[in-house]
Amino acid sequence: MTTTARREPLITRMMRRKPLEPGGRDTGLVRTIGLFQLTMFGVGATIGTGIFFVLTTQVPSAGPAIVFSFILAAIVAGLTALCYAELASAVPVSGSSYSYAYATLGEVVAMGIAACLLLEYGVSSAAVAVGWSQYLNELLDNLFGWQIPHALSVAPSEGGVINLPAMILVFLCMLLLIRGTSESAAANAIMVIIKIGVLIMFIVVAATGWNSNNLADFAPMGVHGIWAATGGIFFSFIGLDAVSTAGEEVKDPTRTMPRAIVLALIIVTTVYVLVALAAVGAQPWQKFQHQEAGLAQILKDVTGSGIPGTILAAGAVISIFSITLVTMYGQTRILFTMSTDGVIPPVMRKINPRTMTPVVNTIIVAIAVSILAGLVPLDGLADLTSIGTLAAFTVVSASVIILRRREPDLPRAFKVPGYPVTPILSIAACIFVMSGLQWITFALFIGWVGVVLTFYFTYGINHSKLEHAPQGDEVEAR
Amino acid sequence: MTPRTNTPSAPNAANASESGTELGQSGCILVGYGPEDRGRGGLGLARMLAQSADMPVVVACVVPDRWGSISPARQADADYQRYLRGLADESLRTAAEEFAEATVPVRYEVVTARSSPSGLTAAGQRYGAKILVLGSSSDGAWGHIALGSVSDHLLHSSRIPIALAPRGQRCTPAQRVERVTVAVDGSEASRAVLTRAASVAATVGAQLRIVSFAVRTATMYPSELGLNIEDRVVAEWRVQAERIVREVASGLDVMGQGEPELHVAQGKSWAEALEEPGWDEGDVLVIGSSSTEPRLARVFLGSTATRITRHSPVPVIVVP
Repeated sequence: MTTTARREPLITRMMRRKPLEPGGRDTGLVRTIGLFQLTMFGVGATIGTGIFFVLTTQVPSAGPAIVFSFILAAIVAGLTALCYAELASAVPVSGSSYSYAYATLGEVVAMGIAACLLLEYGVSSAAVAVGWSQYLNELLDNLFGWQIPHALSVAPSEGGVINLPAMILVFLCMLLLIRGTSESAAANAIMVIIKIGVLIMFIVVAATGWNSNNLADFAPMGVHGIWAATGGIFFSFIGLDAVSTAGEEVKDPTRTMPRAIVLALIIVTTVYVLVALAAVGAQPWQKFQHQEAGLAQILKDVTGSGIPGTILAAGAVISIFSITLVTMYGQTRILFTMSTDGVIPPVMRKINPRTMTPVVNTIIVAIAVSILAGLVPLDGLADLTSIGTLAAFTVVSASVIILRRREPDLPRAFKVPGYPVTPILSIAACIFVMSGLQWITFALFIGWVGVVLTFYFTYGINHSKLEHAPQGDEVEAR
Repeated sequence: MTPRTNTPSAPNAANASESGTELGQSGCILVGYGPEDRGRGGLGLARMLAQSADMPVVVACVVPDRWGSISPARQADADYQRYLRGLADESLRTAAEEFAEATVPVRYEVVTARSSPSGLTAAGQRYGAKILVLGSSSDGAWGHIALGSVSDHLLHSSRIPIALAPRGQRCTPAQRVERVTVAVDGSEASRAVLTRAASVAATVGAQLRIVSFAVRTATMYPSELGLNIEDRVVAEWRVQAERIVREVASGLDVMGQGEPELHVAQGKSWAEALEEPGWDEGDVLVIGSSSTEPRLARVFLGSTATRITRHSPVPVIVVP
């Protein structure tokens, strides 16, 4: 890269921070969200992202001891959500950890986080869509005795050609997003009820098939298995950080925020642990591998009747649809924010005059997600999502410490309890869980971050809005 | 269809001294008015437009002629036709009351045609109408425009601009058009719409105001990105819209009505955004027709033109 005389040294440019918008804290929003609503917000954003299919992929590596993996993952999720909440309350910009990192840690770190977020949102949209196609097939089979042919409903590495239903789901979501459809608080509440409803039904029905013998070989892979499964399971706790981002509208955030995080975490973890327990109690752990639409299958085997499985599959089809929509939405808006910062091309922020939505952006996201959903199997996608999210959370936890040292007087509506132990524990936990993932996941992750950073150094750094901003802005922010 | 010339029973018929061809040369304002007081709001709007542009008005009442002249049902149909004609004459008398104090010539006409849209289209061609004025359907809310079957059909087929009056809107007999607001969205068609609007403004001698609408859609719930992420989208759109409005307005300097006012109206819904710019008596809003949008887009996305029309508190002129 050629550096003209006018430009600052590369390192300065890489570490420049986005100035905080003056008065950004006062968004004019009325603080209306109370504890109950915020808890539902967290539960709604979290439950369902993985529980419908994570057992199939992770029980084979941990055995019935998967229950402990869930508890471990819950602890990590709780620690990171608390750190996230402090950062969200300290940095007066709305948005994702990308925005927080840009305002506190510098541009290059923000780009690294952005790479993680593309995994957390983009890849997880694909993962969720693949899970959806399994339950759709199960539902079709139960209702009409017909399934979409194997070749058209699973990824090539699993013996199919393409996962068509998953791709169609992604395009349906794209149409809704282009139209500007968004899920309301009421729709979220209904989705929470459907998801928790079918999961409770699963727990109750599967419990009737309880067989203690299934637990005899409780931890076939030992501690290592539990550890390895935790990384994959973490996928099902993604979304809890959504609670932190609602901070600006929360009444009495200092009290409400941690309570909502903890309450949502308790509800989610309880449901997950019971689901896992009921599942491993109802069928031997060896049977989980390669089971499609796992929870519905278990119900079928336990009752010998198709009805509970059909209800569960129907609930899953409806609620996973809404999760795909929400996750893809998140992805488009992150890219939109990045584009307004200038670090990715302006086409991503172009708004269609008729729909008032970033249409090109949405189409690009949908194409990328649908390719992933059509060609990559579920476990690969889930692990990539997990590692991306964990890496982002590691940085978030580190920024809490950095910001406390650098700007101790910054007003924070919410402070992490037990500082500095909590963020340090959070970092340690993230790294610990990540290290349990397979090497291929790491290789892909590092490769991906490399791609994003290469793009940053060839395009983003030169087109960043801060590159052309008057010098004064940055100084003022520091 | 059988064109029929002047209705002798209409009291103001004397006003319409010119023949159809003469009207055609100068251009006129055609207003459709149906029996049973359908589309009355259009009469007031037509008067306002005509007086501002100093153009004659043709009030047309279409009666159906479904069987044609060689049908075996001809005799019975002729009786029915007479009845319909009576209704039409009656409604034109009502219309004449509305134009009692009009300062422009008014002509009344019963048109027999297979359908109201085709009758109005033909009448428009015959008189060289510059604009076709229609009232709202009686199904709509007061103060807003509701499209009926006739206006909906004509909006998608008419080659001349169509002015739509909100339901129940009344204006004083002397009211003139004070300001023409044009809605542009920055699409390819914007420039053409703006040119048409500028010519409308020039014809009626009104000020031009250019407005772009920014509607903030609801944030996805739960969004995971903060609840006001959509504010950024709308802020970015404002930037884009302002640039577009400035760009299209810059090509307009020849119109000679002074600098047009530029405005981006923002709201959380179309209804809110449409209220935002502020409206007075004598305001009209000009929009491009949805017929320029691809049909598929209209079905999937709904037409912006339709939404603006539905929520506009002032008369809307849809230019093709």
